[in-house]
Amino acid sequence: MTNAESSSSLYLEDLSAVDRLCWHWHDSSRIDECMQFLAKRSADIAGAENAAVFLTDETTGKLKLRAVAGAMEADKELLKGYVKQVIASKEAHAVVDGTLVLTLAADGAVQGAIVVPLTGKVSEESIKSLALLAERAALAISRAQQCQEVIKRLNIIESLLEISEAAIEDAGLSRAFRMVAERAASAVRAELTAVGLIDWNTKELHYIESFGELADRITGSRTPITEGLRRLVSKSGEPVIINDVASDGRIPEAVINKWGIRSLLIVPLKIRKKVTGVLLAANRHGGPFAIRDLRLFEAIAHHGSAAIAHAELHFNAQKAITELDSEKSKIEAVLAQLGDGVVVCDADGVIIMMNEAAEKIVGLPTSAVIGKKIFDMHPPHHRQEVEHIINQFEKSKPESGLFWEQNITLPGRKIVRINMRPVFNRSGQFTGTATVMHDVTAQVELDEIKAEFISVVAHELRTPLSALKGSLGLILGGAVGNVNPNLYELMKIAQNNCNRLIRLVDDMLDVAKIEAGYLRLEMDIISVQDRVMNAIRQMQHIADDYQIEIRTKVSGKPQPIIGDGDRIEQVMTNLLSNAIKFSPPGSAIDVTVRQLRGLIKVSVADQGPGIAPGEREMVFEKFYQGSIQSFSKEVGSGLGLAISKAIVEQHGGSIIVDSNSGKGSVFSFLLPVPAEDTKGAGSLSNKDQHTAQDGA
Amino acid sequence: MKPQKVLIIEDEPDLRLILSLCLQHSGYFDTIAASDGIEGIEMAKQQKPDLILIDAMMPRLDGYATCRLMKQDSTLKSIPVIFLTAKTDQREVDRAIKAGACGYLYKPFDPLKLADQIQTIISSKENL
Repeated sequence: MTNAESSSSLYLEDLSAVDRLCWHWHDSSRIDECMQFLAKRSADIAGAENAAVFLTDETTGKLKLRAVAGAMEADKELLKGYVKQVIASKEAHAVVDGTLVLTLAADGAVQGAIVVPLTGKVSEESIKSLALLAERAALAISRAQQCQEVIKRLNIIESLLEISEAAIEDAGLSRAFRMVAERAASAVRAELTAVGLIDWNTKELHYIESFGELADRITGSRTPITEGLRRLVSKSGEPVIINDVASDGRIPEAVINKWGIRSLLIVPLKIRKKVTGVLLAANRHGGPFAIRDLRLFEAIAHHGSAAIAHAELHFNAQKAITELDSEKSKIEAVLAQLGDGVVVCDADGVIIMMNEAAEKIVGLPTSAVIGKKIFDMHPPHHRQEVEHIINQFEKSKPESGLFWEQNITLPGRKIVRINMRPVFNRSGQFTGTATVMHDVTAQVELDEIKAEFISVVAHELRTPLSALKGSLGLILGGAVGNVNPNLYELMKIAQNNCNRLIRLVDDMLDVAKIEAGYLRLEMDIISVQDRVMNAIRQMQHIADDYQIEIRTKVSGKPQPIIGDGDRIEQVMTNLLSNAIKFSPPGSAIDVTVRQLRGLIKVSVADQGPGIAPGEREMVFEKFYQGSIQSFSKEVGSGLGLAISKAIVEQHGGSIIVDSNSGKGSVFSFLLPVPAEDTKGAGSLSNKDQHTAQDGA
Repeated sequence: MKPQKVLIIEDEPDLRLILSLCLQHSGYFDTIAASDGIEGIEMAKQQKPDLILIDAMMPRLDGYATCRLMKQDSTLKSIPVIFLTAKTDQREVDRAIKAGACGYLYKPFDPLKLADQIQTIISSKENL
């Protein structure tokens, strides 16, 4: 058998071997084996001593020697030249300078060539065999490459799916970053990938995650965003390949040297159409990146951005929930420590929170009341009132400062002061109520003891005074017959001093109540103007006795206030009594009532000697008697102004004096006028201090 | 017009005398007097007064308890009771009203106006 015959007889086996080997294209050792076989068989068939196979590099498009059979002595570059020449001629095969070149071409693409330096004449049959082998090999390579491309694309799709799944499954922000970096490295066979987020505060790129070489050093590092990088990514928002980083000029030299990178692939990460970072791949040793890599990389970046955006949203939501939980825990911890009971309801009056102290006060566990309406927790006769109050709250505004306070007697004679207030959100919308329950049993008992004591003292003082006043009144009124003028005069002195003593006792009892914190106001909706006029009527005859005119001036629309009418009259009587005392005969006292914004101001101005500057602050002190002599013979207890101050302040108001020596004095008190929407419910705050029976 | 019979229940002898004089001097009232609640109830049952003027604070049985007992007694409950209180607190007035009083007067009182004040209270209740 000749060489040519032996070659021909192996022909079918050759083809099947080429086919078989090329199906293992993904395995580089098999490719080399296949190419080696191809070179060897080509040399055998041609009866040559050696042969070589050149293949076009997929990335660079340059010819690359892949296999040599026999001892190749010819210059590789020369052979490459022959191959280029034949490819350019678009011939399937040709002999150039005694070298047979068989192009490897399939599906319109040239993959390389088999090169056989001939040592003698080659038969036509061998040429045909070789051409057929080259054609078959090219076809096998093309199919294998296509298959590889499909596999690669499938891998990419799988990666994208994984990233998308990570996004859906809320895998977490850091896992989303890691997955993007890993899949990107795998997709473009990069030595290094990194996810960098732009920190606009520091104008840095913060590498959140990296994968591959130097990952340990890159993750967490930051690099300044240079103008070049900004132009590259942020402005255009387009992906960029830089295959020769050193000569490109857009990447700072320091960065290149630091990381030793040769080629770079950068794709912007866009979240809601805004560039928020970059996905980059770099090779330090390996080859350049192809346009095809860029598209794959872009797809990963696109999916990665979505995953990151989702993870970010999820992270922020989780963070917010955690923060809320933490705040709730803190509030619950604080509430648990409070000695006072706290019950929180929503806008419908449904109980949503209750602390341990409230459990003890109400005598029910939280689980038994959560979800129930707060109205149902009150005794039947209270329910309508509570419902009405919540309706008032709903209509009110945060600035109205509305609240409802009431003492309730629970079974076992436990007395609880409940203070309910509306709760509003930041936009001022009513969202519910907060009720604080304070056990005031001991305080009420103490108050009762104080009240009892003061009551006994009052009784013990007033009973003899009553007898004295009654006796003198009967004698001076002629009930027991006529008395002679001298006796009458002495009896009159006794009566005046008895009345003085009664006033002193009254004032001292008031001071005792104030100091015991027991000056209880009977609050109601009152007209200050009416009360002022009542006081003037009461004092008119005394003013007349001293020839003093009382002039009144009321300006502005009279506004009702919430207050204790009798006590306001007492304040006014004290001020008028004071003014009369220091007014010279024939002078006038001016009483003015003015409506101010949210206030009502009542002033009593006399034309007396006034108060020395150093004494002004002291006139409201107990038992203080000024240095200036009064015109009247009446000597006050020195308690009237102190009592007036306490009464006005207990109304939430203030009392002031404006005076200069020789120019008279003006005593004024100011009382708050409730806002329009609180007039109904505002009285809830202080008026309803009565106790109720039954449970809360 | 026949004077009305007033039962004064007051533990202080001086005040009992003065109250009696004040009311008699007015010409509208005759008076009888008891020194505490227990004696007052007995006297009320025997004498059937038209009106009772009672001190709030007394030993043995105070004014509030006395008034409550009278209002529980079918023979006495229709007799109007007026309290005489050393007013220190609205709650004393509330207690008196709750016990069944139809009105209240404060100590120290004006002896010449006392009878008129009692008349005013009685007539305002009758007009209701």
